[in-house]
Amino acid sequence: MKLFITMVILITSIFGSKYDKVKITEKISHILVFHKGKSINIHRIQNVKNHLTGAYAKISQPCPGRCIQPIDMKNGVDTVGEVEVISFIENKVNEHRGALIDARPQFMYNKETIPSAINIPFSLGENKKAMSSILEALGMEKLPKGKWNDSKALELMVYCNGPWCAKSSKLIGSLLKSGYPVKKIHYYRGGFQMWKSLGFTTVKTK
Amino acid sequence: MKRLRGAFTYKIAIIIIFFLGLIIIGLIFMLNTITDSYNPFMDTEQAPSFKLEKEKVLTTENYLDAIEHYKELELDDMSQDEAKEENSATLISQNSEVSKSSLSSKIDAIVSKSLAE
Repeated sequence: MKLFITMVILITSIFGSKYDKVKITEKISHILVFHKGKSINIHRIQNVKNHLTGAYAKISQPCPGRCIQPIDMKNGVDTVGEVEVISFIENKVNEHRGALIDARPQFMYNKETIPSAINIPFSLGENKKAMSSILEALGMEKLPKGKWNDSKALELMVYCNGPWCAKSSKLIGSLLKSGYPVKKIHYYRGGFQMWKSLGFTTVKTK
Repeated sequence: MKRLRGAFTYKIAIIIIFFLGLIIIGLIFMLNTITDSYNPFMDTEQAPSFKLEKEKVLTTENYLDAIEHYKELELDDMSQDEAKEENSATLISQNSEVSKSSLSSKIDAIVSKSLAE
């Protein structure tokens, strides 16, 4: 039996992962996450001839309206890229110490999103009652006189459609205005377009 | 004593056979990688004709043919890739078994309630 187990381990280590052709980084080929109770492997599409199609293949968006967003949000919020998003999902979301937030409208989130993301549409930023409930769900503790205790607040990473999408900035603005600590918010500027353009796994809700 | 020695030899034989198998598989894989760029088993008569094809001077006619050929290739690639992209999104049921105390369900409930108001 021991001999058999050793053989299986050796064979597995020799042939490696099925996501080794197109890895995320040199050391990471895939990560396991949970989305609505289902386990999902986040990896990249292994077909090197893959092209981006559909709405996210568009390279120009009308501006004013959908203008290019700056890297520095000028409010102290840290801007990150895909490798940091992967590390955040693995170390914070999977450990229940952080939340990946999709700031797009609900129908877009249901159509396709990043595995493990939760949806807080940017439009709810104006709704004080909804924001208060959301802050509580995110670990903020309500104190008298409208103050908040942020010691147990989750770390957040907010994204929307892409580098031309202002929805994340709007939601981040509302969170900061409501009293969420700036040190616990990160901004994934590349958003869903960059996620898709790098061939990462996505999820759709039926 | 003889029995013990017999069992020991048997185990060693299995391990040797296993490692020989691994070496053979490894060699096959190495050969596969090498043959991606050069195939030593390729029919020697085919190699020169392939070379000639590459060195062919482009005339207007074969240039147009080449463009048509590449257009077809590109279309093939695109249709394959679209299919691949469709498959890359994992379907999640709205009614998946999620704990009601989970952050995702809490936020979903707040968002749905607020949007409905």
